[in-house]
Amino acid sequence: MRLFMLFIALLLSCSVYATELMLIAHPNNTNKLEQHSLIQLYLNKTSTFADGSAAVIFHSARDSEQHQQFCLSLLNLSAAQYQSYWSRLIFTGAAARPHFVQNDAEMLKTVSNNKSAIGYISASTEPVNVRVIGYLHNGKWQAMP
Amino acid sequence: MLRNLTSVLLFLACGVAAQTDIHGFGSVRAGKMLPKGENPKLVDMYASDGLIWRDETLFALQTTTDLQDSLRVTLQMMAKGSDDFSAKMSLAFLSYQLNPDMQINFGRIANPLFAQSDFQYVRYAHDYARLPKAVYWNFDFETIEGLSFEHKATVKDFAVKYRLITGDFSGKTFKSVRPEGVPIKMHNIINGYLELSRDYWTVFGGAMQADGDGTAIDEQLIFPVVLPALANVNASPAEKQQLLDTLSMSKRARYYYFGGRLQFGDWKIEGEKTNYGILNSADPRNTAHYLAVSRRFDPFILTYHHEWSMQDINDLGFLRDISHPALRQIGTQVYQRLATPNRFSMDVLTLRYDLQPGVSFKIDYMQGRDRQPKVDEFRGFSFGLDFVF
Repeated sequence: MRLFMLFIALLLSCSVYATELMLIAHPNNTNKLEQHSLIQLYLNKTSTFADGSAAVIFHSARDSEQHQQFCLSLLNLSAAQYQSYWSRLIFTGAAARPHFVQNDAEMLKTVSNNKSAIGYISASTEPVNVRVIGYLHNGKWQAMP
Repeated sequence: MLRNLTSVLLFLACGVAAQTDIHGFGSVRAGKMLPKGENPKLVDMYASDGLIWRDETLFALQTTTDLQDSLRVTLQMMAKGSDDFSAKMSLAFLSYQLNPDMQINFGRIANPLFAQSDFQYVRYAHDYARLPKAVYWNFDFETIEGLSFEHKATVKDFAVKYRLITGDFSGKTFKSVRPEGVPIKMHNIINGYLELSRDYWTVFGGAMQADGDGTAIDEQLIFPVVLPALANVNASPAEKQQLLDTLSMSKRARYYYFGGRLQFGDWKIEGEKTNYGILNSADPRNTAHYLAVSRRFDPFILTYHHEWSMQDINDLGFLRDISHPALRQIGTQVYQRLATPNRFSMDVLTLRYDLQPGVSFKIDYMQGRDRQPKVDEFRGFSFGLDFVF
């Protein structure tokens, strides 16, 4: 019984949100980016920033912990639900296949080289040549002060 | 079969030659209904003996080719088990991107009658084994030739999306009544959709209107019933013609719907209400709705939904100009013969398990009732894989 209680306590103590994420954009992108606008961009509700310029969203590898965390924390969808949602867009001609990168280094390189790009990396990764928009910490959005 | 295979190979060859993005979706599903038999709302669904594998199984391929930065071509071929896996070009359109949030499509495009019609066969895209049949019934004019305009915009924290479609349809309908179908044309189709969303909730509404040319329906389904009855009525030819005109299906059709969905933590609620029919004709007005509640237990999603539909056979307003009592009686009889009291309802429990990216296993149990005596109470189940690539 004690072992069972310990197991339950351990389960409850494990956070669903094991990874803290940092949302990043190109350093010259001065658009105001808040939680609402990020949700709209990642759900393809809009494909432009506030200034009307095109936005291109990037994801971590589909099977990565970061991608799962991101979908759940920002969009309140599991990674599978997000793929399910995006398949509606592909097969109605409303959007193309989403862009995935392999790791944080590739994400940093992609976002720093593309003014339209936004993406996310682990909060422990140094954000070189990118603008930090905010953090997803324990499933909550924290805008960059 | 050889012709179908050739079409698919040509379709793929064009895609590869043009460095095209190739996608696909499909479902492999088996099911069984108890008792087996005809069910007008569940057309082509498990009406034979035993476990049926072909009725809901389908495969589709889609290619998207960028011609220029703003111009691309989308082709989609689908082969349904219920259609003996004959591959048909379900979509074929040219898209022009006016800006990142504005797009025009020309060609064979979807004609969504309801909110999820344009991806109803992409079963991986939703949590149901199939979209609620009370609403997403077997419509024959799901695709039309025309153009659509889509615009996405943001207003403060809200996202707004609207879509306008116009075009024509020429094809066959009433395949559930006659396997070879009855020809129908629809002109001046105007279809509009509006969606408002913020974070985790969405509300939507839409409507479709079209001028129908149902001459063949009149000649093959309506008049053979009416003309023998008219022969025995002592009324003038003008009065008889007035009745035929009143019962005719060559009139304006109008569809509308509204609904919403809310994602709250692991819970999701979704519902939609619809109303449609051919105005001032012998076609009874149809109303239908569904309400679904889902709970996510990642990687499982459990969904319960209730769906309901009925035809209003008591609305005889379309006969208001028929003053001759005998003609009015014939009109009423024809109307009620076409509209058997088929109030339909079904409760469905669906479990979705996401096996791996792009592949989900779903199993569902359904039970329901149709007021038509030949159907009455029924229950059934199905299971299978839905996938995209």
